[in-house]
Amino acid sequence: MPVKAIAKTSIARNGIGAYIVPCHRISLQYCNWGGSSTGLRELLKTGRLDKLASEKKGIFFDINKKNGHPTASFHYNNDTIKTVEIANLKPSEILAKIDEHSQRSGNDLFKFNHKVLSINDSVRGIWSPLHTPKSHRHKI
Amino acid sequence: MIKGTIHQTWSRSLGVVSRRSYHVPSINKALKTEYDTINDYGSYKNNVFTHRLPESTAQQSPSLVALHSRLNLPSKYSLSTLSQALNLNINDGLVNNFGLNTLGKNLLSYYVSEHLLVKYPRLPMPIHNVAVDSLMGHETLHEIGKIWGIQVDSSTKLDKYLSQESEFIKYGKLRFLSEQQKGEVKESGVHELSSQESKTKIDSSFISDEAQAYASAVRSIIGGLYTHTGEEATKKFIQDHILSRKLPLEEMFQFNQPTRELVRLCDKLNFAEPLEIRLIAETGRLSAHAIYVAGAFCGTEKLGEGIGSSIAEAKTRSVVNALMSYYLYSPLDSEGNAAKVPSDKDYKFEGIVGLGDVSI
Repeated sequence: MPVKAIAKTSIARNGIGAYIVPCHRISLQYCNWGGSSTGLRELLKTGRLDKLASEKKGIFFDINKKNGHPTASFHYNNDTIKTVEIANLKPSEILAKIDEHSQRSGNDLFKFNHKVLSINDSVRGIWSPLHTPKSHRHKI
Repeated sequence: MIKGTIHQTWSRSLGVVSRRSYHVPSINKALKTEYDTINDYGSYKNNVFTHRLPESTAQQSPSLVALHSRLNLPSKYSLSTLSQALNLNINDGLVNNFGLNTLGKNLLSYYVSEHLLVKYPRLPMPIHNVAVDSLMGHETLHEIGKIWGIQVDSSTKLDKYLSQESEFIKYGKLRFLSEQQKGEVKESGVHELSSQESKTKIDSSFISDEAQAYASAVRSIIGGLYTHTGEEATKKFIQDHILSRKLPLEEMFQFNQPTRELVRLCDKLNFAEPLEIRLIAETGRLSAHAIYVAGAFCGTEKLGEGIGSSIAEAKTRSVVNALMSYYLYSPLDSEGNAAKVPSDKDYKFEGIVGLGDVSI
């Protein structure tokens, strides 16, 4: 056999072709008695959360009643679950939190100080000093 | 004959049951198949009672509805079919995805091989096979299933009762575990191989049942799309979700004797001039970090070029570069677009057909 093959899996490029929202499930937990859940209870009562859920059709919302401070858990497709404290927040602030986290990828945030982040090779190629004629090369 | 008898007596005396290593077809008992005579295949009938999930029940499953809209499936694609695509259990009374899986697999292998054969006509056979696996192998399809947000139904009936979980939620989850497997106590860091998994075990790697189930669900969803919307939409779906993935073909080659292979290739292509590897440029030969640029030439034509920190490295790289640029050639049509595939509208053959692999 002249050439052997090395098995590799192909790399996902979300957004090229199809785009799948990485957040697939949001679990909201509230307490029916505690004061810190007032904001979330308000959202549930007025139906504003229903409106949000019908806007984000691809996300499965589930609401649990449990004692303690309210939380919002975001389940992402890279097997991570991010739990956010929403105690003592106003309804609009909770909606903003849900909106923000439902658009995330589930990866940790990191500082990125370069212009381009890519899995492809440079289109231009890498400059080489050895490909100029000998007379034009830089002399030390 | 004599050998067989001796072997049997020997194994019986030791109390060892000899196992046949070849595949023996057997009837799946779970399907309760009945027949008049065993070779009258027309009389075979499965008596297992299965029914399709009613659409009204499927609509009440939030996980199923969310999955449907997350994948942007057309409204023609019924939720009960989507639920069927996620069911691998034979015994739970609901139809399973066996047929959809077969359909989806055939569609996938057609479009994937068509794409690869037209786009990379000169790919050697082993690389082509690995590339097909890279796009539609169980590992990739498992990953795709995860990306689609498909969850495994792993809680027992008792757990569901205790947590007051709605019974409809499970219809939107991947169902492949039996009630007994769900109830097993799991030790973290320890995984007991099932009989299916131990069959696929090579060294320390194996194909997990979960990966198989995810792959089967992804294939079945594609099969379901075909049954509801036909070929055009399925082709678009496969292009969007499968063929849009980045295929790392350059990392899949492992050359044993690249120079010899290139010489054989030049012979096969009837090049008039012999293959020569020449030094193009160099710097700092006497220094600690010398750099050489070598090129593989055929007469005045440069086939490939490579940079290395020794002459041997530069030579090998130039040869590998020449081979890669031959194997990874991708034909274009007269307007400079990628060549059309046979399933496209008004397809006209514009690509090339590879000459086949060289032998060393």
